[in-house]
Amino acid sequence: MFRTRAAKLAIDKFPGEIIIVDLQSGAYYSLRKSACTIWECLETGATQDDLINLFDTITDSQKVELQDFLTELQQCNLLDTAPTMRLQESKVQQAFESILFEKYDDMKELILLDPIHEVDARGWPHQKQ
Amino acid sequence: MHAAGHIRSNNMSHSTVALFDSLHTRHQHQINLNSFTSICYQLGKHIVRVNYSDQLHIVLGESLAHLAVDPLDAVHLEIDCLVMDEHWKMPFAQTDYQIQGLLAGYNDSDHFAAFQFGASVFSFYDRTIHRGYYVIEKVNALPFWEKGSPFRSIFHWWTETTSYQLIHAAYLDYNGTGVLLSGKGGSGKSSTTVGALLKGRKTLGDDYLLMDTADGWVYSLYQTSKLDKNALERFPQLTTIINADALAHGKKALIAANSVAPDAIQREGKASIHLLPKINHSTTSVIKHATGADALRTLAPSTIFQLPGLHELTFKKCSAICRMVPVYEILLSVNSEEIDQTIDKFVKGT
Repeated sequence: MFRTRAAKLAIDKFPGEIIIVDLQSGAYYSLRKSACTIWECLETGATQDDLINLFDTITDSQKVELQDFLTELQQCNLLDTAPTMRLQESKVQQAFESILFEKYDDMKELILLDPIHEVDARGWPHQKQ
Repeated sequence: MHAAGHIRSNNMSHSTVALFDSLHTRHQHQINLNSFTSICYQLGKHIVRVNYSDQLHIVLGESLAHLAVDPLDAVHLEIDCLVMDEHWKMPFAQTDYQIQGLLAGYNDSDHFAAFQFGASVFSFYDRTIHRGYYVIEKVNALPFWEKGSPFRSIFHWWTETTSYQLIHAAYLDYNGTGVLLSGKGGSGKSSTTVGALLKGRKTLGDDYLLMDTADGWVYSLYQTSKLDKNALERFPQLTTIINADALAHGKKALIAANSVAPDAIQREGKASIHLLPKINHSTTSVIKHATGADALRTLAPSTIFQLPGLHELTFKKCSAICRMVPVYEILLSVNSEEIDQTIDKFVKGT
């Protein structure tokens, strides 16, 4: 069983897209297509079997895609635990649509200004020019 | 409406009590020593009074001057604006400094405190009595962009209990139709605004706006625009009014909307269209449908992470805004007149 890391995440859901903002790191994310279905399943807590069984006619390559997506979510610190996928038969639910997952890092510098290494010889709070 | 007082709230930590008392004492001392100037401003439907020490209204007041109203006794927010000196130093240690300058030990259920790195400005707000302190380390070292948007942390904290939200966006009026423009730095938001002003459009501002998430009404906050060198090359007629010092350091220039065109700045308007500009380097601009998610991905991060604290609430308010107003993407041409004509034509057709 694994689930999304709800603390410090701001999430909003639109038709076809989920926006996630990591309020700690400043990174934000866009999830589309089957990424939305998987994320919503993860929110309530999901086993590996649950995720596989979400989709009808999921191919082995799509299972790998799903596994890669979970790994990326983990690397982005959006999941609490690390899943290990097992490739197995799926049940008829819905078609798997190629996962769209985009990460944006452009806001990080705004919140992670280093108060120790980015100060001048006078020390904090004098910013290095 | 209440009269903001000097009495501190009861629910304070020891360190916050000492800080509040020292700020109050220091401000009273500066008032006694120097002339001070109180100016009331209308923010949305509310009144804010700023008590400037040391003629600071000359340095900081221009960006808010269009919101000045006659003095009132009862206000919704009061801000004391003062300068650090040998008698008042920041009592914080390096270890107190957290993400976005929020100060550990000084932020509790009733207070916000942050040191704004870069501008060397300390902001403190007591949410129980709606009183803020804005303390500048060195007036001469105050960066130009801070002069263009002072007190924004305090304004942001104050909106917590209201339906208002400070948003990082611009607003243009096209014959009574309000157009919101949001985009990251370099998206063409400011140059689109300035180009429209030169064609006689009105604006509420192009950096931060105050938006009421209850009804979609938008209020002007600061009357200044920031343009970089590249953008200014498109508007050579503005070179006589730009901030030469800022440009000399390779940064952006601060321009007051009313200096671009007389009476260009308005106080309020209703947002009917939300445009997401993108520089496209084309000869013609194109406007196409976008989604609320596109708008939130654009508006929320740059708003959340430029304002200290209240991140979750800010995200929710940005979400409400992005669902409230129809969203379109505009791929900007290189011609500011053509951009203005494209928006005008689109607005008339919607």
